Amino acid sequence: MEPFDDHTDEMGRGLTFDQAEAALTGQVPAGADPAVTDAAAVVAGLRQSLLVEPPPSVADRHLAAMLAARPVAPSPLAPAEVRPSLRTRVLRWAAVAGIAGGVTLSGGLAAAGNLPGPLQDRVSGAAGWLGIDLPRSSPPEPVPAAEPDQQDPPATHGDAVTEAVEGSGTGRERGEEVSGTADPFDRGGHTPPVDSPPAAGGATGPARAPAGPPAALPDDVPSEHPTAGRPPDRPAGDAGDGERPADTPPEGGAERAPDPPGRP
Amino acid sequence: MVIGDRFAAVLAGARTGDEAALTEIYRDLAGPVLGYLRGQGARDPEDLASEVFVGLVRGVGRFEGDEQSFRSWVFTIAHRRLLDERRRLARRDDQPLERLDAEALEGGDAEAEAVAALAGGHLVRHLDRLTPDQRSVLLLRVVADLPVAEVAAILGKAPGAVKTLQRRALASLTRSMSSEAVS
Repeated sequence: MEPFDDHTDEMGRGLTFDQAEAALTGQVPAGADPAVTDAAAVVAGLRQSLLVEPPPSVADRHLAAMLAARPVAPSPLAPAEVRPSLRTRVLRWAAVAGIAGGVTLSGGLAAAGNLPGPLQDRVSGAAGWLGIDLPRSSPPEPVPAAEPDQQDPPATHGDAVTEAVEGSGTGRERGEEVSGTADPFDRGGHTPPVDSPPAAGGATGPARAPAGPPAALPDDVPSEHPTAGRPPDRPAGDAGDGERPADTPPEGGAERAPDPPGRP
Repeated sequence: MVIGDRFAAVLAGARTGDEAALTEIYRDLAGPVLGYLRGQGARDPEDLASEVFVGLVRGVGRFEGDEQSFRSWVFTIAHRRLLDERRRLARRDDQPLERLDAEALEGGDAEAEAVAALAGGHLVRHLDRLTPDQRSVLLLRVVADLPVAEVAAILGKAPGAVKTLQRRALASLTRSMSSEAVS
């Protein structure tokens, strides 16, 4: 059967609004039109058919779903948490993104060894704690070329000279000691002075000690005395200004990946 | 209205997720919501009713109003869930919508089923003969027990249109049943 449309409805028995309202609310007056009474019976039948309480199993399932969907009750000990505003959340995201970007950028620069010297050292040290090997701006301690018999050389040649000059003894003794400081560094592979003989063994031994009288060396020999012909007060392998010569292996050079081609 | 004067307290409890308050609301509205969905021929009225009540719990914190408005709001959720289900089924285009039949009434306890079958279970079959708007208006008025203005708000129609729809729906349903009785 096709649904009744307005056309068929108009052709059938009609109800006024008041009659329909009376049938719907169940308040049919005594002696009402039979059409209204019939309509009221239909409404009562519909209510009886459809208004059925759900069985306990269904009700339990519905209630469980409702309780699971409840908002989490705030802890009585903690103040009610207020959801941050959209602006706050956007700012937080921006801050996090900025920090992440900064870490990525500095990490990349650190990996490339392009950070300024002190910063490069700090980043390298911090990365070392995490097991990440990053190059340092300069080796923390100069490592002379492998020389098995050399034990604990002074940190720098300048330090060694200073140590010798400030030591006890007569001026001559200190002068000789200053001269002697040149020896281990020269044996460490330093470029000898231009006027040094390229003999086997290099400029080693006391032969390079000043031949003049001890008084030629004053007692206050400055620490930057160019004893070994290297730049003053520079440790072996230290080119100064935080820059490492390209040919100087960094500390733990065996662990570092080779420099990419084209890098100075 | 069953909750009555205690509605404000019950609503406040429901907003905080109080189990007793939510249970009271469910006991008040479960029958009408299920009846509305069954009368509309929902494929799985119980699952759909579960979605309605979950939506109630999630949105009750933002609700403001009295018990009449609350009831109207809950049936707005039910009506929209029903439309969602119909759109979903139409997209799938697998089977036509099930109309209310004996299977749709399954799941109730034996006594309720017997009452429905004997007293008026066949009545709901006549709802298929109404237009969708007539059916919605009649069910919201009869089962949800909502006034004309609330029904109009739920369906997005003018109150005058709702009055016309309910009058024609009632006349059509009565005529359909009379003709069945004669035949």
